[in-house]
Parts: sequence; C-alpha cells; structure tokens
Amino acid sequence: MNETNNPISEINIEIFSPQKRLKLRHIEKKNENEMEVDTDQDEIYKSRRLMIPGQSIAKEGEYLKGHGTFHFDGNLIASVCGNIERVNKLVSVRAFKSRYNGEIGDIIVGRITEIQGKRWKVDVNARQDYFLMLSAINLPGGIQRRRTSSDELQMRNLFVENDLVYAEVQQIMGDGSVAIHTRNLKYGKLQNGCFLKVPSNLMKRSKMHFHSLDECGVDVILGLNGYIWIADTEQQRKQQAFIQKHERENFDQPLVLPEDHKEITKESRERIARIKNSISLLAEGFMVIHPKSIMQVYKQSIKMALSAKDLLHPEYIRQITTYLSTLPLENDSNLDMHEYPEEQ
Amino acid sequence: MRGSFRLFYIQKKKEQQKNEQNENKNNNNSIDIQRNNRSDEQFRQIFLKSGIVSQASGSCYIEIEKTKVLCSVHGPRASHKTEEFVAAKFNCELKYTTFSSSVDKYDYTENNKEKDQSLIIREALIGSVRLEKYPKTVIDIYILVLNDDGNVMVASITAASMALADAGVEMYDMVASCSSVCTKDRILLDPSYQEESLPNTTNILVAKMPALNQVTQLVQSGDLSYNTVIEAVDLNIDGCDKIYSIMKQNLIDSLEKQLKDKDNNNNNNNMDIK
Amino acid sequence: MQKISNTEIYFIENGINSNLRADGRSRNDYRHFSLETGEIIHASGSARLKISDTEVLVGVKAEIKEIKNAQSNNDKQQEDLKRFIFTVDCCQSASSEFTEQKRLDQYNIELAKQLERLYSHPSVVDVDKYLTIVPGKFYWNLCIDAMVLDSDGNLLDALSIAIRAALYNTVLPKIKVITSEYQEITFEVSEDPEDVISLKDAIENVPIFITLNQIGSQSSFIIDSTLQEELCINSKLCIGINQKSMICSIQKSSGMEGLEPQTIIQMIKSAKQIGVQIISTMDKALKLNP
Repeated sequence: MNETNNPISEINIEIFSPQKRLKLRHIEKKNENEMEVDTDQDEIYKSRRLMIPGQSIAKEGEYLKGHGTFHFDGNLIASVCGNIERVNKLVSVRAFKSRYNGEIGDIIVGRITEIQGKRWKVDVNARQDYFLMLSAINLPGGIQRRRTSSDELQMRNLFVENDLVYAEVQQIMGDGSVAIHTRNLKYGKLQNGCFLKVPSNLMKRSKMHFHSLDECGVDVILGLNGYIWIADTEQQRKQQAFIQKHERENFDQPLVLPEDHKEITKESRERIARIKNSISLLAEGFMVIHPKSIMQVYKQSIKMALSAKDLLHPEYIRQITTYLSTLPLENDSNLDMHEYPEEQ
Repeated sequence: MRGSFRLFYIQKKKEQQKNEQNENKNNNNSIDIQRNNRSDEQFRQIFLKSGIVSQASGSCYIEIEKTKVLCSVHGPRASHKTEEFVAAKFNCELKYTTFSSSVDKYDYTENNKEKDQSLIIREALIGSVRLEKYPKTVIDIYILVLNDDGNVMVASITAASMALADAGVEMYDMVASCSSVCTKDRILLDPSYQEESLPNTTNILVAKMPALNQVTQLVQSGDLSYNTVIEAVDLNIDGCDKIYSIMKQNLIDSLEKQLKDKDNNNNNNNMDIK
Repeated sequence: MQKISNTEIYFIENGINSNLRADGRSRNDYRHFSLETGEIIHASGSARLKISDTEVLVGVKAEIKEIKNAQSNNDKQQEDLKRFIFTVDCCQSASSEFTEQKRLDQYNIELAKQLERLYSHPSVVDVDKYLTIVPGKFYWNLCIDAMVLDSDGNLLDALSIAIRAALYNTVLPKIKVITSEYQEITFEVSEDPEDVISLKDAIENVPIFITLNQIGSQSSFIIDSTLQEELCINSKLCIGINQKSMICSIQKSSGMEGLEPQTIIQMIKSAKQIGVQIISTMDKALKLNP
C-alpha cells in the first residue's frame, strides 16, 4: 500500500543568478617555448608537468616516444591532455580521461552484450568489447574437461545478455582483441547488488579489488575499467554458500536461488545507498576511488548526520569535497594516478 | 451512369457542408449540444467483420456508424536484427486516407498526428500480447482509416485487437476501449466528429483488458477536477466492458460460421467421393 | 545504450517495494534541481533546468499570427486556436539511447505531442488578456522550443517545469494598432525595452507534468526516476497538474503491463499533492529572483 500519508519531503529548487557564476581566472603563461629537458630526471618527475595536445616535450632524438606522443618537425609533441610519465629514456603522456585500456592481469567488471559461437562478447567501457571464451570459464561442478558442442548449445544457462561478470584480463591478441577469464572461484556472475559506472582513470591498480568494508557490512568490487559493484556482505555470503553447495551436490540441475537468500534488510539498503552516493561524490570531484577515500566520505557523512539521499544535494557535496581536500596530502593522491601503493 | 453518380456526390457534399455550417452556428451559440438519436451514454451501431484481407495474417473491419476503419496484422514474421532476441518487436502504424475527412488535410506521408496516434494505439495493445513467446520476430499492425466521423481511436484499438485474435497471436486478453468527451456538466460516450471538435471540452480515452482488470491505456487532455476525472474514467471503464461483450460475441459468431463452412465443405467432399 | 540485468532489476524493485531506492531516496522524493531564467537574450523568454544530470534548455519566441478566414471550418478553427507551438529536440549527444535517427525523431514527436496535449485547454493562459492584439484577427503565437542537452531520466517533468519557468520569464513588446483609411491594419511595435507586457501573472494556470513510474508490485510507484530505474518500469503515467489541483492531461506510456484502476486512482491523488507542492516552491523561488 503506497504511503500517501507519508509527508513528501522538501523539494529543493535553487535559482542561479548571473552574478553567482564563477569568473574565469586567467592563468599566466609560463614559458611556452620548447623547454630543453636536459635537467635532472628527478626534476621532471617531481614537476608533474601537465601537457595539452600539441605541446612540445623535447627535441626528437633525446627520448623514445611512448603512448600519447608523436614526432613532428624534429620535436617530441604530446597528443593527449595529461601527465608526463618517464621511465629512463621512454617518455609517454598518460591521459586524464580516456577509454579503459586493458592490461594483462587487470581485474574488471563487465556486462555481457552478445553470445557468439563458443564465446561471449563483454562490454568493459574500452574501445572494443572484450571476449570471454567458453574455455576460459569454470564449468558448473568444477570438472575439468573439454568443451563439447552440447556445452556450446547450453551457453545460455551460464551467462545471458546484460549479465554482469567479475573477471580478469587473460591475454591481448595481435590484432588488439582482448580475452578475459573467470578461472577462479571468486570470479563469475554478479547477482543481487547495485551497479555504478565511473571514469576508468579514477581507479587505482592495487593488490585487491574486492573489498569487504566491515564497518558498513557492504561488499564493493572496484573494477579497473570503472565499473563498480556494490552488494550486501551478509546476503552475498549466504548466496555464495548456497551456490557452492549447489555446485557440489547437484550441478547438473539449473540453479534457482530461494527467495530468503535474496533478501536484503532495509538498513543494509541504506548503507549500500550511502556507499553508492559516496562513490558518485568522489567521481564528480575527480578524486581517486579506493576503499580509504570511500570510507572517509562515508564517515564524514555520518558525522554530519546526513541521510543517504542528502549526499545527492550539491551543497553537501561541496562541503564534503572541501573537507576531503583539507586532509593531509598522502591521502589525496589525485595526481599520482599511476603509483602503486601497498594496500592491506 | 457515372455522370449521375457525380451529381449525387456533389449534392451530398453540399448538404454536408450546410449541415456543418448550421452546427457551427449552434456551437458558437452554446456548448450544449443535442444528441440526435441517443442518450449521453449510448453507443452508436457497431459492425465488425474479421478475416477479410487475404494477404494478411489477420484482419478486421469495423464501422461505428459512419466511422470506417480497416486493420491488418502481419506477423509474427522473421526479423533480421539480432537485438529482437528476447521478445517480439511490436510495430503499429495508423494512416488516414486522403479522403477520410472533408476538413482535415491528409497527405501520403505520415504527419505528426498520425505518429502520435500510432504510439497511443501501440501502447494500448502491447500489454495484451505475449511477446516473449515470439523471440526474433516482428509483429506489424497496419490501420487504415477510411472515414473519420469521430471515435477513430476506439475503432482502431478494437479492430486491431480483433485482428490479432484473427491472426492467432498469443494474447493474455483482448483489449476493449472507450472514449468520451466531457463538457461542463455532461459526459458523452462515443463522441461523433462534431462533438470531438467542440472547443472548451476534454477528451478521455481508456483501453482495458477486462479479464485481467488492467487498464492498458489512459489519455486525457483538458482541464478537469479530480472528481470529474475519476467519474469519467469509471464511466469509460464500464463502456469498455460493453464493447468487450460485443467483440466477444462477434468473434464467437465468426468462428462458429467458419466451423460450419468447414463441415459443409467436408460433407460436399464426401458426397463427391461417393 | 544503457542496459540492465535481471538481478539488478530485482534489486531495484525490492528496494522500491520497501520504500528505499538505490540512491537512498524514498518513493516520493524529488532530486535537487537548479533553475536559471533569462539566459538567451534573443528569445522572448528562456529557462534552463538541471535535475542532477538531466539538463534541459527552453526558449520562447513570440510571433504575430493573422487569422484570415473568420468563417473557416472546424479544423482550421482549432489550428487557429492553438497559441502554443511545441518543438522538442533531443540532441544526439544527450544520451547513447538517441543514436538511431528514426527512433530519435519519433521520441521528439512523442514528447512534443504530450506537451501540446498539456496546453490544449484554452484556460491555460488567458488569451484575451495577454495574447490578443486585435480580437478575431491578430494574436501572439508562442513558439516554444525545448532542447534536451543531457539525459538522466525524468525528461518530461523537466521539460514541463522548464517551459513554465520560460513562460514566466517571457516578455512581449507592447503593440499599438493603427487602422488606416483603407481598413489596412499596421502595427507599431514599441522599441522601448521597458515598455513590455510580462507574462509573470499569466502563468497561474499553466500546468506541469508529474511522471509516475510503476515498478515491481502494482501498488508501488515512484516519481523522478533515474535512467537506471527507467529501465525497470512496468508502466508510466504522466499526469499534468496545475496550481488549482486541476488535472490537465493524463497519458500512459512505455508500459509492457497494464495498470489496475485502483492504482490509477492512487497515482492521480499522489500526483495532485506533489504537483501543487512543486509549483508553489517553484513560484516562490522565481519570485525571489526576478
């Protein structure tokens, strides 16, 4: 029964006025001319130069050109907006915002788009869809055997279009197509949770991508391609136990989750919503997304006594973003997106 | 022969125009209109016949007094795109013939009014068809309005539903629809063209699946208070039930006739063999 | 194109049944929106609305329409009565859903027709007082062009609210009618930017759309859906409400299922409450910032 007795909460409307708009600040031009990069290696690295397309990095012969650069007229020129990276003599420019580029060993979350012969096509927010070969998944029951033609006909029982999968990049072929695999018990189909998409450049490479945030009882999977999965810890444990039992005992029968295994309490939903809004907040502020930063936003929102939906309000977003920027610099590694920190 | 026919036609058109002018004058004077032969809640005579277009999977012709609508269903037939994997694609196209109205001007190309009405009809019907039973197929519904004398939407939805039943497409239930025009204090069911074009009135169209008691389409335009809306919607829902009984009766009659014809043919064949 | 798997639909449906949506809002909660008027100098009135990621820009242009035949037949009369002409344009850059041209055209026409239906009743704006130049012959016609710049669900509501704000912002120049000896009518349009008729008070009865999406069980419906939620809806009812709680338009759309009559009655009741509240908040905010 819909609660028409429920008082409708306040509706917020804000009117902009032209005076309130931020004035463009004129940034003084630094030396635009070709800078001779014959200074220390460390200096370039520490200066964290920001490049725009067409900006000259160095003279042609001095460095090897990596991604994001090209030779022109005797100069090495950047072709994307981003930071310079340098490893010895190799110079590359890593873009701030680009489509996800897969590398072997990356852990990602993908969405099945198509079922083809002996493989699935998976959308991972990259330039092309990645392939999940039939031979690269674990068959139900865990048996190791050759895939037969009857397996091929039963692909629909495993993954259907629009399903979410948790997988790892296996190999990159010569023509640029990428194969992923789920050959591990922790990988596979994701069910009964919430999906969220953020720019892939905000995801940091780390040892673990599956985080069980104990303080809130929420499981978070941060795929390196920017696809994020949020679910309730308790429900996922129950679900996993049921699936494993099913695999051991009767894997040849279709898997049907009973209703009580799919239940999520209202409190857990509130926590999941809060985590979801925190991650959106970080994405909007272009800040790196990892469990530490998510928990910071989460705790701050609880300290400010906000409900989950208040985190959608621009005023609160502004407040929390300013708070985060005042935290010590080690936490705010917005610029060092290519560093590999040690995660517990 | 031809000459006399043309004379007759011109005379009739002049008569029609004169009538319209009179009605206009009446309308300009007062909003209260006199319904000639029926009460506010009475429907006009309905004539239905299905299975008349031989090339289509199913078809139906409907006449609500002077409004004439022909509907044909093509499908389910194969579609080449793979996106239609899960359920059938459902298309609906309404077209007014160029001679259907002496007032509105219709072209051979689709204009916005027809597109809008096609979408409304599609919405009314899509809830009744079991689309998931026909993956990788397309079901096309083509509706042709031969003469517009009001209540075209009701005629179209009714004809389309009957045509789908005639085509043997799996459905949850047939869709019956009813529309009305609300003036200041009266609600007129089954409006004629004159009544629909009155200024300062509101139109309500309701389409319903009576067996499941679900409303599949509801369109209202105009200014009404909450109570009037509820009253009008209730009245239309009752009207839908009445139309549904007419549709059901007609379908059963035509099926019985088909069975009888089949029996007759079998008897004839047997006699021939003897 | 945005897609969604069955288990995600299940998650969203259950959340809505227990009155807690995926982003923490309850069923009747509206997102925050920001409204800006008067951005486009060349239009007679304009407004820009942003509800989270949905961004809509509306411009109003006024032109003078001459009614040639006084005794035209019925349909012509109706055409002449139309004071508002709507066009909706969803930019293809607005969403990856809009890449197919044919579907996009259809969608644009659908939205425009729904808005037209909303403004179809003559009581929407007092034509005699504000839009008449010479009664029976010359009227102001308002061409309302809406552009969808970005889409995150709830388009129709955003369009109707932005159009209402744009009309509030519209000013029409004062016109002096000069009848010459040969019964020729010429206009003298006042060049003074201060000498204008504002439509601020004319929009009293202008309605807005409230879209109610039915998801999950028959009795649970939500307002202000996000794009993800719109992929899970069973059916949608768009109800036009004006300040006086009068219902100006109802249309059911994009539904694979029907609605029970009880649910429809509840939806209309809810829409009434919410619509009146939004209009009053909007008017208050608009009055504070002229």
